[in-house]
Amino acid sequence: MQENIKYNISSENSSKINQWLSKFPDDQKKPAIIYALHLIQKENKYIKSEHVDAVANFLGLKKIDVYEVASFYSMFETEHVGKHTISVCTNVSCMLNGSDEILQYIENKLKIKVGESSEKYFLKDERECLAACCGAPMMQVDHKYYENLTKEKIDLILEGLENEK
Amino acid sequence: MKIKINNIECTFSKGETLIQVADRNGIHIPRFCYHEKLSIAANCRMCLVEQVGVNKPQPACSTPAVENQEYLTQSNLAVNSQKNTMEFLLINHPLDCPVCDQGGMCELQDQALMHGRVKSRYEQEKRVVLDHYIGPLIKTNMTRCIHCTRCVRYGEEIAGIKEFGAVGRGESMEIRTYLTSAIDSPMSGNMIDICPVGALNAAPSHMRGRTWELEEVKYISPHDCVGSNMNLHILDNSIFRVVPHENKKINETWISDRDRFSYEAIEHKDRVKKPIAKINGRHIEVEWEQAFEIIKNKMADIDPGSTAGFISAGSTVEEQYLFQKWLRENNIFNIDHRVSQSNFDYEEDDIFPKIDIPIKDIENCKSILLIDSNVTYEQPILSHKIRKAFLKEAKINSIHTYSYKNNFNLNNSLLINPNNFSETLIDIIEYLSVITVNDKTLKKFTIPETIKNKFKGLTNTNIIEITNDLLLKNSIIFLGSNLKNHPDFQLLKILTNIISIYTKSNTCYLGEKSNEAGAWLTGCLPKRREGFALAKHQGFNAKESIQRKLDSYIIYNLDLIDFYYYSELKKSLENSKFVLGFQSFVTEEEKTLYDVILPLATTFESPGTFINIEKEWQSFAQGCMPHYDSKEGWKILTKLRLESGSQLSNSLDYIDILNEVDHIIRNTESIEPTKIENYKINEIKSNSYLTRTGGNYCYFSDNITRRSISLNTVNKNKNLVYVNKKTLVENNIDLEKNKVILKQGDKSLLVKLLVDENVSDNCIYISNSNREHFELGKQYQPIVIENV
Amino acid sequence: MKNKLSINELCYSTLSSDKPNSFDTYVSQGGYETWKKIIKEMPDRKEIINAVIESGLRGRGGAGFSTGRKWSFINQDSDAIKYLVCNADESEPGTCKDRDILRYNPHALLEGMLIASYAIGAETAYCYLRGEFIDDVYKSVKDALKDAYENKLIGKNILKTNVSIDIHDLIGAGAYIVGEETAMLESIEGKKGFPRYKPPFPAVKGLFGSPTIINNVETLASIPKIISKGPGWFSSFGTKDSAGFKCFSVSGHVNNPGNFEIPLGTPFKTLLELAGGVKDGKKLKAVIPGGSSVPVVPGDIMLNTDMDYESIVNAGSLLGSGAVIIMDEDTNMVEVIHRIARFYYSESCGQCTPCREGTGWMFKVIDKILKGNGTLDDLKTLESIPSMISGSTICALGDAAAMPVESFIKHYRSEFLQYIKNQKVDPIDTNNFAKISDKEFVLNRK
Ligand SMILES: Cc1cc2nc3c(=O)[nH]c(=O)nc-3n(C[C@H](O)[C@H](O)[C@H](O)COP(=O)(O)O)c2cc1C
Ligand code: SF4
Ligand code: FES
Repeated sequence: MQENIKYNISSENSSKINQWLSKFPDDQKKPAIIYALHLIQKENKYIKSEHVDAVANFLGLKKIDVYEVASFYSMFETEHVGKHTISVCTNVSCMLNGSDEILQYIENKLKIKVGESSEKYFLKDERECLAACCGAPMMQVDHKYYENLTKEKIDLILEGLENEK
Repeated sequence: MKIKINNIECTFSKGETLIQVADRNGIHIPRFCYHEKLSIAANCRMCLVEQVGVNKPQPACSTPAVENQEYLTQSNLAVNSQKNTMEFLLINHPLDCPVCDQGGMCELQDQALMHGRVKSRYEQEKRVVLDHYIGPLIKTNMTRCIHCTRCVRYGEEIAGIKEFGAVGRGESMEIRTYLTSAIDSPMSGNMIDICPVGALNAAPSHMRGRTWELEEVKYISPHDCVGSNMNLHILDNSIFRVVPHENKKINETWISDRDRFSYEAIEHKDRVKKPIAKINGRHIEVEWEQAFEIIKNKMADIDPGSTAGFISAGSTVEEQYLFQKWLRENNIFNIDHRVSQSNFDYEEDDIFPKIDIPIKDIENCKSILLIDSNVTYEQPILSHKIRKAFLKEAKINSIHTYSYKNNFNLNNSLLINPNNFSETLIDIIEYLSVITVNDKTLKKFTIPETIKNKFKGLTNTNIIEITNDLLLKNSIIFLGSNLKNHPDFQLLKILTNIISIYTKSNTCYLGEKSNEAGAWLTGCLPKRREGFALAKHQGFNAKESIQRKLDSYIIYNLDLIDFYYYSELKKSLENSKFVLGFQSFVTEEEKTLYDVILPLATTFESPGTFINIEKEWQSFAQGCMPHYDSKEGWKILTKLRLESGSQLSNSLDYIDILNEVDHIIRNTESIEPTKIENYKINEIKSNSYLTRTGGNYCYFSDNITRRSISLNTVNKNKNLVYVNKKTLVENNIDLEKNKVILKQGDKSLLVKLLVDENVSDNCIYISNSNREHFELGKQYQPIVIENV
Repeated sequence: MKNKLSINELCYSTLSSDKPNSFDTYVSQGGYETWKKIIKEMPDRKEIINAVIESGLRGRGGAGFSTGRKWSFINQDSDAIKYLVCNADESEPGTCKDRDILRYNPHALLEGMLIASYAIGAETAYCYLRGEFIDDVYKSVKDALKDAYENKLIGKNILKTNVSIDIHDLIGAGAYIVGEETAMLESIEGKKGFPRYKPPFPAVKGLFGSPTIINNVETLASIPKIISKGPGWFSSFGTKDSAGFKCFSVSGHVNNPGNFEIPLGTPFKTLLELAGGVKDGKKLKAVIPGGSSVPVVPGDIMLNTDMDYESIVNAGSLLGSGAVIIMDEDTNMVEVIHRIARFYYSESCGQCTPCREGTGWMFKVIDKILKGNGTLDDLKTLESIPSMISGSTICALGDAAAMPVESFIKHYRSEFLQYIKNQKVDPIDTNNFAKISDKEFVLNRK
């Protein structure tokens, strides 16, 4: 049966995925799932069912295999999120250094609660420790590390995001 | 090698796990995720036991036995660990046993009684999981799921189609399909059985009865040609559900969905409830005596030479035997069961459905060739065996007109036009005769010139590879039942046989119905009597009987669409003087063609015997009493024999009939064809036409499955037609529109179209899943496609 | 960049330079010499493995198993394909040592991976980074790989010999559990990070079914110098059973948090001093000495403990990944364990029962207590759960979740009881904190 695949993986991404596959034994296709989802999420901000279909189709895998992966790893978003992802680490070391206030400050400033999204921002409910404990409190904005946060520093970072086109 | 479990000395072989050793020695270890047919997951942690000298409990299902070690399954450590796991499993379990289908046969319930704490200490909110629709066969109740992943592994490993997955992580992990896709595997129902709790339930019987109210009757599949063993669970003289009955030689612990859910048909509106007779042009219900009276009078009237009797290959051995006996006693010799066959050339040489090796040995074959068989959907149990061979790295090849979806991968897949079947097999034979010239042990065949001109030369590498694979030791060729409709069917059987002789391969001719072998052996044939004895009075075969427009017809347990010559048959019936039916079901329209219809009990409601392709006789008891006013076939036929004055022994018990048949035909040998000199190829009319392909849809294959509501709602796409893009373009079909008109002969049909590259060029694939498809015509015939 | 005292001898040796992560810096410090020598002399694999055994190097990923012994489990005589996997999933809360190696000394890791691959007979090695490193950390590793490939130190026929070793960078997508070695193998194979049950161990059946060795970043980055300077040099540092150096990430309530690579056996006091002492001159209340999954140790005990495997065990905890989390006297221990329990609850993979159900249960009970709704029965239940999980799960995440809860209650029971009494704990004076027995408590509650 012919499947209607609604999403086309760009040729640039296709060749990137194929290149990635060359790292593994020839018969292995699954190892490219995570990478392909990263590429697609980067383009589309979050992963929709048509993306899962496209990846499964491209790699010749079952959709459920791709979906299992997309739903397991916390970096993959499956619902609409804002343009910039902000993850404030609130794990032990950061918590001891006031990450809860930092988070609250950002919540107030962006007018969204943790876990929520506005058009521009997604304040991720980050449960994991982001491995920058010695720079606590810290956060990631679109995967860039910002350490030793203060309110002033946050103002600057957010201002930077506001001003970008 | 030896270990001690609970101080009992047990021997084991290398690689065995503790649970295997314990099971063999009758030592009970609780388990949820472990299942002997599935890979080890070791995720439920219910089977923890103590290894003496080790302070951590060990999971018995995944821990290999180690020489001279001692293990305890009842020590404090073991029992506490099991208790703990039980408590964890129950904290998020709804404990709604009173309303759960599984109640009374639930592994969780049983083990909670043995290993659980009395009172729950968990007070927090329990996890609630939303249920998603996964099709008409399985009703989920995922809040009860204990995440043992048996169902997921079953899909991946046994069914070969991974549909369930464990989605998400941690406590919120859910077992589900992708989005809301319905389960498609033809063996999905087995997940209901292997689920240790009530998370997966049989939808038709969901919440309609409790386990302890049921009575169990062993039964044999009325649909597949391997004779899967199953148990009917009976509630108030109705079938409540069907589950597998373990038979190591045949179906192991599985059954197909078709076997599990087809029983729903028993209550279908088409059911013939009382005898029906046409009186003064009107069909009315009559009493049995009256019906017999009419039959008696008519039978005295009719010309036996101008009467034909057809019986289903899905009826029991006893019925088939009595049917032909009754007819022959009344000098009616036009008897046949091969109603779906199109061509009867050389029928003396016929080979009946069989398999050369035990079914359980298929998995050890090194090479398997499928000739136009949609085996995964039509014979799921055989497909499971092929899948096992595939997992043991057998080479599996297929020659077909449609790239069927299989639960194994193909080594070589050769998509051909149905016109080219014979020539493809001839190519194989020619290649074989070249490469085996030096093998003196082989009998040589010369292909007659008439056929040989079909030979294309040895250019097709696919053919060469397929043939080379067949030369591997331990190979088998499956000839699909679809080909019965093919004009070259007889020749294809012969050619397949020649290939098997050259390659020393085994063969298997797949039957369409549960008891095709039985129909052959009991003499439901025009030229042979029971036990293959040549008949003194030779009758007409099905095709001749239909085309000769006889005076009267007797049709036993068949829908008219079961006939290849369906439309001709309808005309013949209309013009005949007397039509008698023995039917469990009849449609309103077909009813008008009969003069008398006797209400026949379904095989569920009758004892009986089926003979599978392995020639294994399997008898079963009566599942439930016949519904309505229907009666068992063996009783009706015996009564009719008595009425027509046959001399029968005093006793008229079912068992006596079985013994009689058994005595006469048990040791029948099949006949082997040898000569091919006279064969000619029957071309499918003209090449300028497109050809219709596509055989029986597995849930529309006989009068029972056609009436099983749940099965027939499984596949939403079954009523589409499939054509590849090239063919569509060449026929100027507008690809934007999704509807087309099909024309066969003087019939036409508006259908939904699906572009599908699995169809071979110049073919239209239609699965026979709908009465309209039968009305349009049959497969392997010319067909025209047009824009709307 | 934090450039601490001259203590950073091994994995952080490039920190003293301006461009710590450049190929040239590494080479100028004698980098890749060991590898070139191995390629030239082609010593027997066993020689290298023996040297690593002799050095006493123990895995720095958390379990502390002898690295050389682990390598020796690979069947040297078999022709099977073998793999090396570098575990760069660093995600144990409190740990950030590997990130600095990846950012500032990636070549040491690559050289270590080459030597390890050679020693175990692997021609393919993977370096699996946690997904959150996808930006600059990943770039640093990719750049380093590019340089090493360009200099023909990695790849086919390295330096024209018939030794071929490829190293591939891989990236995860956010899951703590993938740090567990078999979950990592699953993740590399493109599946969910579900740990595998053992046996079979990865050294027998690992990645794609082939024998595989998995080592932590720090472990592998230590290898080049151990080989070049000799196992004796390495074992001359540290103690008898804890040889050599270890990177400690000191975080929490300290003035000068950071990574310090010091000889094992260094007194905790010294390490605390290196980190500038407890923040704002407060008193030390408690220390988690090896990442959030090890038992917490009261401050006074820590102050008399040395930072090596045995001493920490004697203090009632584990050295783990070397993440030292310092808590001052004002710390609310119920809040801390609440946070830790939440972490394990959301990171449990869900595969096996005790961990999937137990982590949630523990968190929910702690949450109830923290919100002031707890009862004494809750505390009793909470106390019993860890031992129900420990030792019965497929991987060690179960234990990792259980140990902290167990130890927090053990040492700071009174704070839980305070919550149960519906009063927020008064954290100023924990030492004089009245030891309320369960009995009295019941009386108080009427
Ligand atoms: C839940 C869990 C998480 C782990 N996370 C990490 C990790 O982030 N980084 C790491 O190197 N090892 C981690 N480990 C340890 C690894 O399983 C493994 O022991 C280690 O990579 C082996 O390397 P080593 O011998 O060099 O220490 C973790 C173990 C467990 C049980
Ligand atoms: S649905 Fe049943 S078989 Fe599947 S994981 Fe849940 S409990 Fe196990
Ligand atoms: S039966 Fe052993 S862990 Fe499930």
